[in-house]
Amino acid sequence: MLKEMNVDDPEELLEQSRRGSTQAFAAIVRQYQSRVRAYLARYVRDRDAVEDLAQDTFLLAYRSLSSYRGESSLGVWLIGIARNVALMHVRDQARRRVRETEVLQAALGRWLTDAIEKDAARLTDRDQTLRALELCLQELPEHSSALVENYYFKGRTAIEMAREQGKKESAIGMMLLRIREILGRCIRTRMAETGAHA
Amino acid sequence: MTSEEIRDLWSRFLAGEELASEAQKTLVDALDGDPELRESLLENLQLDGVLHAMSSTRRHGEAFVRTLSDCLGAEHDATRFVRKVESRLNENPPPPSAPPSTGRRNKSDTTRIFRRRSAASTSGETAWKPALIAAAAFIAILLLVTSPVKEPRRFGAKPAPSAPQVTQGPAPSPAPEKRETPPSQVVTPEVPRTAPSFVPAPKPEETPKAVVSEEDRRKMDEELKKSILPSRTPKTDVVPAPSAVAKAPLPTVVERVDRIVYITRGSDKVRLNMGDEVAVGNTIDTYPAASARLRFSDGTWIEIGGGSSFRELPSTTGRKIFLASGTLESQITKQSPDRPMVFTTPTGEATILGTTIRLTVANDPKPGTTLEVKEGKVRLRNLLDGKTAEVVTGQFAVAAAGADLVPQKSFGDEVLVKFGPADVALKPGWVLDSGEEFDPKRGYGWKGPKEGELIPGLTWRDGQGKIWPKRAGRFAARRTTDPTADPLKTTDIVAGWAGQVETWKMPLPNGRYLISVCCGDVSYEQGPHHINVEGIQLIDQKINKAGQLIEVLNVPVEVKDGELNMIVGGNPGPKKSADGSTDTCINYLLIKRVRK
Repeated sequence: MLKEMNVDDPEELLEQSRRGSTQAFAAIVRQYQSRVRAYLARYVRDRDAVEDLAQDTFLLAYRSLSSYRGESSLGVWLIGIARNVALMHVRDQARRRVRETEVLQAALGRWLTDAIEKDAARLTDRDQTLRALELCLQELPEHSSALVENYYFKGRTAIEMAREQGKKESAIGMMLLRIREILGRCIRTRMAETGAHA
Repeated sequence: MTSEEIRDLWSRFLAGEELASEAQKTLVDALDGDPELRESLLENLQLDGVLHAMSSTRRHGEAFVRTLSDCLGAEHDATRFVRKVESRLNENPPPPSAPPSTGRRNKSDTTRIFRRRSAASTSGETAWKPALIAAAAFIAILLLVTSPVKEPRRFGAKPAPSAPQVTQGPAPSPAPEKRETPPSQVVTPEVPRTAPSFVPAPKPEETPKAVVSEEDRRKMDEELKKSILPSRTPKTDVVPAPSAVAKAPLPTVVERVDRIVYITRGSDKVRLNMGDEVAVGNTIDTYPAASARLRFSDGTWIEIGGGSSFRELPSTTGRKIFLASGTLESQITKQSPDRPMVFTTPTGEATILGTTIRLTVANDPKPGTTLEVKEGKVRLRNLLDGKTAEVVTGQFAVAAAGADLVPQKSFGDEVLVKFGPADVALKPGWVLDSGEEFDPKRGYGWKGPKEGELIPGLTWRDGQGKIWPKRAGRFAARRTTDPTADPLKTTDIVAGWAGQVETWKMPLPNGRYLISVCCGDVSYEQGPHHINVEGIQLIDQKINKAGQLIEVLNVPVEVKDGELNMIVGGNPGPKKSADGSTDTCINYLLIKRVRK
C-alpha cells in the first residue's frame, strides 16, 4: 500500500493514517521524529525518558488524528503534543526531587517547567530550531566540529577525549559549553533572519 | 561566585558529574539571582539535549519507527475487533425496553434486564451498550492472553498514557493527569496476563447470558480469529472457560530495591518499593546507579541493573522478558521444555534451554546484546540477521549488527594474566600466558607465531654471555627463583624490541574495565617498556631499575568491539636500557570488569 503513497505528501499520509494505515503513520514518524525528539530533549535530560516520551507523543498523535484539522502544520501540531507530554513529565520529576542531594535537579525542574510553559506561543519557532542548528553545525570551525562529532555523534566520553588531547576532563566540558554557546548565538541569528525566536 | 566559576560548575553538571550538595546550592542560588545567566545556561543545557537527540535519531531512528509501528499494529487490530463486535451487536439489538414511567413491563427476560439497568441509568440505549462491549472485551482478553499474539517490541517499554485532550493550534493546553480510557485500550497487549481482573467480572445477576448467547460467543470467537489472529490454528472452537483463566499464577514480588526505581502500570508511573507486586505488562525503569530484584512465583529471580528498562511480556508459550536497555542478571529455575523462558532485547533473543542457569543479559543499542552464561545452556538469536548460537557455561556471545555470533570463553568479572614460562605456579583467578599465539579455546593470546622472523643485525646475550640472533615474537623469562620474591613479578614475557609491535588480545564482553599492568625485570635494568591497552598508553618509554618494577593500577578503558587489545612495544623512542636493549618485559595484566 505504501508504494502507492507519496511519502512526501503529508496530506496523503495523514489521510491514509486516519484510515488506519500504520505504514502511512510510520512514514510520518520517520519524517518528524527528529524534531519531536529534539524538542523533548530540550527539557528532559534522561535520554531513555526522551525515547519513551517520543513514543508516547506519536501514540497520542495517532489516537488523536481525527482532531487534527490542518490549522497548523503537522510538525507544529506534533510539537504541541510533545510539549504536553514533556510538561507532565518535568512536573512529575520536579515533584519527586525533594532530597537534599537533588537541589539542583529540583531547581532545574522548576526552571524547565517555566520554560515549557512559555513555549506555548513559540511552537512554530521550536519546530524550526533543529533546521537552524543543522546549518549552524556546518559553520563550526574544524576543531570544534570534530569535538562535537566525537562527543555527540561518535559516543566518545569527555575522559577519553581529554586523554587524547592531553587536557583535563573539565577543560573538554568547558570547550563543549563554549561551542554550544556559539551554536546558540548562531541559531538566534538565523532565527532572527526568518523573523522567528530561538 | 564569578560567572566563569558558575559556568565551570554547570559544564561539570552537564558532563554528568555529581556535584556536592553545597556546590549545588551555590549554583542554584547564583542562577536564581541572575535570570540572564540562568537563561543562557538553560539554553546551553537544551542544546546539549538537542545534540544528543540528533545523534540518537541517527543511530536508532529506524528501530524507533519499527517498534512504534508494531505497537500501533497491535492496537489497531484490537480496536478493529471491538468495532466489529460493536457493529455486530448493533445489528442485533436487544428488544426495546419500556419507558420507566409506564410501570408496565412484558413478562420476558428483557424485563429483568431493564430493571437492573434502570438502577444505573435511565437511558436504555446507552445503558446496555457498555455491558455488551465489556462482555465482548472480556472474551477478547481471554483469547488474547491465551493466544500467541505477536508482542510488539517497544523501546523504553513505558506504556503510553491514554490520549489527552490534544488541542490543535499553537498552544495546546497541558493534558489532564487523569483521563478517560479510550475503548481501544481495553484489549491492547499492554493488558497484564492477569487481565480478567483488569475488567471486572460481571456479577451473577448481571451475567450477560441474556445479552450474549453461546451462539454470539461462538460468532465473536470466529470474528476474533478472522480479524486479529489470521495465522492462528485454533485447537478448539470453545472459548476457554473463565475458571481456567482465573487460575492466575502467583504474583511476581519485588525483593529488593536500591535507589530510584520506577514502575509503570498503565499510565501510572510510581516509585517501586520492596514487597510490591509486578504484573505482566508493567514496566520497571531503574536510574543509572539503581537496581531491583524480582522474585517469580517459581523461585526464579531477576536482578535488574542500573539504567535499565524491563518488562515481562504477555506470552502463552512461557515467560517472556523484554529488556529495552540496561542489564539484568538472572537465576532461572528449571522451566518446562515447551514453555522456555525467553529474554528479548531490540537486537537479541536468549532462550533458556537448560535446567537451572545463571545469566547476564546486557543490552546497549550500539554494541548490541551481550549474553554471559555462568551456568547452563542458552540459545541466543541475533534478531538482526536471524543467526543463532548455543552459549554454555563459562561462555559469552554478542548479538549485534555485523558481529559474528560466536561463543567465547568468559573469564568472569576479574582475571589476572600471569606472563612467564610454563612452570609458573598459578593462584586462583590467574591464567598463564607463555607467549603462545591466540587460541579461541584458551580465550586469549598473541597475534602471530611465538617465534617470528630473524631481525637483521640484532643480537642478545644470555646469562652465560652467549650471543644469539634476535627474532621477532616473544619469549618467556624467569628472573629469580627467590621464594620470598613477589610471585607476580618474578617472571615475564619479553616482546616488542627495536620498535617491533606485538599484540595480545582477549575477547571480552563490551563494557568498562579497570586495567592494571606491571612491567620490568626484577633482576636487571630493562626497558624502555611500552604498553598500550585499548588505545590508552599505560606505560610509555619507562626504564626500570633492578628490583623496581613499573606498575600502573586501575586505569579505566572501554571495550567496544568485543575484544581487549594490548599492544606491547611499538615505539623505539630515544631511550635505551643499560645494556642497550629496547624491549618490554610484561609481568602481569589484571582485568577487572566495571559493573554499572
